[in-house]
Amino acid sequence: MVSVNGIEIEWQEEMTVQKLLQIMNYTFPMIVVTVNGIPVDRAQWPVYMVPDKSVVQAHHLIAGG
Amino acid sequence: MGITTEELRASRKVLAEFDYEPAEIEKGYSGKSLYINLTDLTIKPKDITEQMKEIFIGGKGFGLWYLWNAVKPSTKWSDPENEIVISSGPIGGITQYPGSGKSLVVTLSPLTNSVMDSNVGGYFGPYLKFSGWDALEVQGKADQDVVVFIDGDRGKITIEKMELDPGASHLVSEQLTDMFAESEKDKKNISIVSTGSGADNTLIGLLNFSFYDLRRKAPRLKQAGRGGIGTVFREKNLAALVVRYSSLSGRSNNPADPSTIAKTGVKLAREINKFDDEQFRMRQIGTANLMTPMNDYDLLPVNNFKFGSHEDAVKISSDVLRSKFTQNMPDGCWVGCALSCCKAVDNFELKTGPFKGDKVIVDGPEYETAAGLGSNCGIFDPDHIIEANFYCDTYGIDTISTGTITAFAMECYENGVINKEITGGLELSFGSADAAMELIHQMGQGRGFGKIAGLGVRRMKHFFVDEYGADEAFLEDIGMENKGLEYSQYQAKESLAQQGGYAMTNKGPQHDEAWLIFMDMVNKQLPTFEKKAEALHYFPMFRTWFGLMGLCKLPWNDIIPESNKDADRPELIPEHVQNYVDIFNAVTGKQIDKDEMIRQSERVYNFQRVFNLRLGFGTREHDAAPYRALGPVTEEEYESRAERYDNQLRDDVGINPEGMSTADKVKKMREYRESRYEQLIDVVYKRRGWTTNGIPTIGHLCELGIDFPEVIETVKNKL
Ligand code: SF4
Repeated sequence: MVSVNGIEIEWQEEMTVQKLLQIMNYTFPMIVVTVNGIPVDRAQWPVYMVPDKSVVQAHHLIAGG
Repeated sequence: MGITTEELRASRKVLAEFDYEPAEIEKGYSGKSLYINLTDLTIKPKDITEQMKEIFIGGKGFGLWYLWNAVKPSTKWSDPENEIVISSGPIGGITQYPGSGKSLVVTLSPLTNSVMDSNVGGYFGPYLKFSGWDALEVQGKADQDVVVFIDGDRGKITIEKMELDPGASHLVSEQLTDMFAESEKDKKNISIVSTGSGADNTLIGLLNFSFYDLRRKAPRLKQAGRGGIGTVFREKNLAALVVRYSSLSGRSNNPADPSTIAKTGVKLAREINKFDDEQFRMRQIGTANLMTPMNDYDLLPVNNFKFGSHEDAVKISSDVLRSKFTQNMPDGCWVGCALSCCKAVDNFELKTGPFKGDKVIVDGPEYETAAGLGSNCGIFDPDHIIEANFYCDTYGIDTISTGTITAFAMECYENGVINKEITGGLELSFGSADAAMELIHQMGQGRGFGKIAGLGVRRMKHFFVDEYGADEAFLEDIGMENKGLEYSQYQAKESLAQQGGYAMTNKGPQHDEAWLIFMDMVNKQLPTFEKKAEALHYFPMFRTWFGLMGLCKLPWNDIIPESNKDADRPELIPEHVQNYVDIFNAVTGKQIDKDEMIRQSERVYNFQRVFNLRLGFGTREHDAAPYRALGPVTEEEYESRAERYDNQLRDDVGINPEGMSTADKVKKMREYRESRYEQLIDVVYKRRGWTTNGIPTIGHLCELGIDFPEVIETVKNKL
């Protein structure tokens, strides 16, 4: 399992940050991601592997409509 | 187009005039405000006192203070003593920092019968100030339609009558710009405030503030939309306010420290250039950039806020709307706004209504308009949204209220509360674009069912119950209004904090106080009541500040600086908050910090709460939300997201949903959500320094320095 913003989802083989955000349908343009507390640059999302049991924060940067 | 400019000019008759020497602007203030009484045609200056600057700052603060002094607790919106006050603020009118040209409008609202404020672009507020007036108060009621002209170049104010048809705001703006400008070049120096026939015929009238678009050679319109301010304007028989000021320069606001302003502005403009295309694309799409993500996150209102997404939303996605904008250059509602989020559709050929066949410029659509007139009514046709947007603006009716009203009427129609006989033949089912458009024309023209719809959701509910025996409880659940104002267009069911952000507001459910949905629902940054309450204290106070200054909220967090990735509290956008502190100090020569910034807002925010109390509102019962805003009212809503709700029953409520009927699940969910909302109110009130009934304590008012005798008296009577 992987925890994303507190939501538990099934971990998969070859699960990159990008894949994870797709599964969550996190399409917002301004997201800051940390995996187990380590910030992952947007450029790394397609290649950065999310290990099983990770705690991922996908911080959506918006405080106002 | 009826009357020509020459004929209009020939028809002018001056009813009253006033000559003045425009005051020099000193550190963001002229030190004078202009008072006009339309009953006896008084025009007179007033001094802005140091105490006003210290406590009320400007903009909405000045508006509230003047209105407080103008009205009695018994005053109704339609009484001549009600005022419309327009003021920008000390920062308003600077051209170096993006988003610094807003005007704040304050009045007693026909929808809420209490205080309303609205923040609007266009050039009127800055030009008013540079013409020598920090604020304009309009009181009284003219006995015929009048135009007020403030000529800041000549130092002359006139109240005039003329052969002007005030029915269509786009024409009024064009005609008056043509007539008052002394040359083609002078048109950019004119700004008009006007509305349309919808403001005469409904309680949701808006005000259009113009700015002249040099490329399109036409005035563009920005809206002070919420709360029926345009209805008050027409009640006073105001046809238009006009200001002319031709000496705008980077020094017009005469700040204490121009170089800090320039430096800070350049820094933000660079950020915008560098990051906007990869962030929110405000320059390309404007606020309509939110259409796609709101649908993706189940936050786009669909069918009167029943749902948060729809498969057809792709037809009105951000990119579809973008493809409709005929825009190839940045376009701002005030000089120097590098974020330039204004969008327009040129040469749009109207298919309906009094201007059918005309090719017009349509401002927008903004997100709220597209969601309100589109998805929330089950309509996924971009051309319908653009046409409805045009007509709402030119009739002078608020697109947000229009959307929520139409959606409510549609749900009533689908549930048999109203029928074709009552609607005069309109088949108001969700998705009926033709019926929705016809309803706009009826509201705009004061015909048929439009006369009922134009009263707003609260009065429609009462009318349907009284006249047609509708189920009151059901209508209370689905009628999306609080305090009498229609909800703006976000689905808040899954964010308790946002439910408070909507209903625990001073003026009603507009998201300009707080938009906490992502922080709360997606990021899970507000897991406890205390954290939600902290956010419901900080953000409304912080965002109130824009309205004191003449600022636009968008350059605060619709562009994110590089430093934000290392910020402790990225949601605050600390670098931009510091920019605002620096700019305020650089304009006024004062020395505030970010804590004092919040205190400045807190004074005005609490004053507005007391003002509501004084008018008979402002207590806990007025912060109640319709259940549609808190959770699923119907079994259909529950079933549409059954897995989510079942999980919540199991995990959050501690009930096993297996074997339960949907009706029982809806009931249990409701008990849980309503009790959570009540708990939230308790914690928020405490954080805000209010009693459990929502009344600011005397101690808190003293601490804030707004313990004027009449304020304390008002509160004492309610405690
Ligand atoms: S960001 Fe948009 S609304 Fe705000 S001032 Fe700039 S152009 Fe106007």
